Amino acid sequence: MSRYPYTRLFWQSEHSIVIAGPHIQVLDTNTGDVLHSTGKCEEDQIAPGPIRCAALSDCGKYLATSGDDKKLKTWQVDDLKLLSSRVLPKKPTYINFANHKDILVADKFGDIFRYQLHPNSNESSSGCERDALSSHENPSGGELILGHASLLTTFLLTADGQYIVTADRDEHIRVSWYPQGYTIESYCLGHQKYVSALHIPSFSSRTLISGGGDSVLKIWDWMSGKLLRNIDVFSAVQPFIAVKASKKKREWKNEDEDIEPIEGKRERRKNKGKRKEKRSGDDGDTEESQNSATPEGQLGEVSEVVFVVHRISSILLPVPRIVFSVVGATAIFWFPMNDDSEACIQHEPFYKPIIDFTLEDDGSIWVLLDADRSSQGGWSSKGESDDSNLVEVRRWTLDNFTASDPLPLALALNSRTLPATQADLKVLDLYSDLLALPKHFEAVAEDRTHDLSEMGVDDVATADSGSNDGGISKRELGRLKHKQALRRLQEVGRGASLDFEPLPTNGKRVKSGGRRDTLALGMDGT
Amino acid sequence: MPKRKRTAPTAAAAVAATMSNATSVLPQKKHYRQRAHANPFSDHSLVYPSSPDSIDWSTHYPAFVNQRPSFADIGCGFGGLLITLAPQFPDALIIGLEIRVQVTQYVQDRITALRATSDNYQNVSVIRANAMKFLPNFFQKASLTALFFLFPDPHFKIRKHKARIISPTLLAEYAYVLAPGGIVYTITDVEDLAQWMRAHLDAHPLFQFVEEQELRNEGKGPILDAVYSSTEEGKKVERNAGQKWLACFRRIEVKRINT
Repeated sequence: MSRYPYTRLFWQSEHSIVIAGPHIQVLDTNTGDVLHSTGKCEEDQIAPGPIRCAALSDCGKYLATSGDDKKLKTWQVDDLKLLSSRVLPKKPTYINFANHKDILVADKFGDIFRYQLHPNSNESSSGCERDALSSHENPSGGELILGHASLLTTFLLTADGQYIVTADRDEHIRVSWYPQGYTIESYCLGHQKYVSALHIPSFSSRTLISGGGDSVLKIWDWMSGKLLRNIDVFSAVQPFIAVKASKKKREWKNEDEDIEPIEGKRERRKNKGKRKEKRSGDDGDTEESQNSATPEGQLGEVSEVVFVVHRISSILLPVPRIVFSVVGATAIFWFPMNDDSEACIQHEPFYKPIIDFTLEDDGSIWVLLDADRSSQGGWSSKGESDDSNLVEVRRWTLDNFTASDPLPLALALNSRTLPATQADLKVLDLYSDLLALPKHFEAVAEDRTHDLSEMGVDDVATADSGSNDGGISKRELGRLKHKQALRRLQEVGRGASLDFEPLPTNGKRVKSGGRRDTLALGMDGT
Repeated sequence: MPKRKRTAPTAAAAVAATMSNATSVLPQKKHYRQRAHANPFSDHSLVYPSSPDSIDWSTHYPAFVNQRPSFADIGCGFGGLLITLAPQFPDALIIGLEIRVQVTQYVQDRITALRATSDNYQNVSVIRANAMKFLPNFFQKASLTALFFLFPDPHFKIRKHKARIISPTLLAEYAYVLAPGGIVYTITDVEDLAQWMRAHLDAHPLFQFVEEQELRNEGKGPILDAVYSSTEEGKKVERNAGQKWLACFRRIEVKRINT
């Protein structure tokens, strides 16, 4: 029997909480005893799929979780009692508590809704029915704080709780007032790819660190949106990226609907219905299946390094450092947080892909590993890799890590694992970000008129005669003629344009010099 | 009547002469037709600046130095508003954003042709862009004084309402790029959409409804006239004797609510 890797750990001095697949466990931090586990709960309390998002309240007493079932569940940590379960409008991407009593949920549609920790009566009653004016489904009556027109990847609240910083798949970082999210204070713009991780260090509260698909982490003054520094990290990280995205998935054609079909309409329709597509070339008839995140190893697949920063965090002791992890990479990375020196990226290897990590104030780092993952992308059963830990703990000294004495909690987490089937593990889909975040379009020969406009007059004449089979449509030819007329006009100089009256100022036909000038109407050709 | 008979052919001939000369320079819409809808949520292969700082506006407005647009027409279509406003506000830079490639190309070719045949139109330009996703990539905070949403795609189905250009969440971005006091102009011939736009703008704390007359008193009459009738859609509605609903809103400021 295989086992569930841990996807999230909330370390607390008394009760620590760990997430594994669909399960939640509460353990005694000092003894490692499992106090509560949803592994023993009735079926209906456990989500049918894995928990994707989890957050612990500031007081440590409440846990909020959600998954692909689009239900926001709140739990009491003391006894792991399910307090409430609310339906969310869209699949959540990130959850966190705000100002003690609110839960904020970011979703794939790009919105952030606020829910009370304890649902009150009007929350459940309002917003169920969609009327003609409602722009958002809102089945549980959450309060819409803000929205991006893009998948919202992550967010954070500033230490004073006055601002919310949100990041999306379209390279944006937005700073808005909280809770008045409709007032945007600034944007931190400059990323070239998706932004997937945000962090404000406790020791530098005006500074925001962001990372995603770019080869650098960016350091911002978030209040003004000013970029302070780029920290090049990709070259240091790349050797450790063990999980790659399968290239096959990324061969979807651009579904840009407003591009004229070049390869014929019939094929376009096929591409549209389901997101399946015929691969061009020799194996043109093999339809691609929808397995997600199957890494390298399958026949004919080309894997590709996709860089996604997973989590950025910081630690003050022994010296201020920025610590980060990367999806599918086998090491933890860090660099010193000072303003002037060239940042040198250091790493600590763990030899297995790191799922997540948790920092403690005393300089300890808890690392959650995808320990059973074989290089072929499957999962070995427990027997073969009994010795590989799902959880590793290190303690920081001034220059490097030392393995700390085996802590009871770590021992317990590594020995008392939760069983999972291969199917369970497949559903877990730990590396979905590698496929979901990059944009799936190819460079399309989009604007052929540009190329055409480079053609000379002679070319047009020949193209004209063979317009049916020559590949140039009547439209393109029409445009070309106008452009060339314009070019001739420009060559002759302004003298040639004496025929043209100054253009009328209000777009209506006006009499000028005794005749009508229709120029400004734009020659409606219909 | 005989008089008219005599002059009519002459006028027609003059028009025809101008036409034949003009058509050779100005682009024709029929060469740029494209389906009316574009999915604003899909990953178009767009080129857009990573931030407003990285835009060189002088490539759009060579006659102007260090000046940014202050009027933006969102979904400018075939550019009727741009072309009408340009000579009337020669000191304001006017930009149109349009998501459809062919239509953008038409407006661009039209501006090029107009610039070649007139001294005006140096202050107008167009960009292919998805304004729902990338508006803050183009415009600095509080840099616009007018934002136009003229005859936007109605997205009739309830399921598609989320794709409407006016939505509670997108209004925050429009408020961000507008200077306090700046005006959002909306007009549509679809009553449903008119109610929708009015309701959402009314509900937004950063926008306040302004009566048409108030704007006319402020000297914005020419803008309103252009909003009503300069666009292709606006003319079509007039031809069909349809109704138009105008609604304008002023960007206002609010104080923080301390919780």
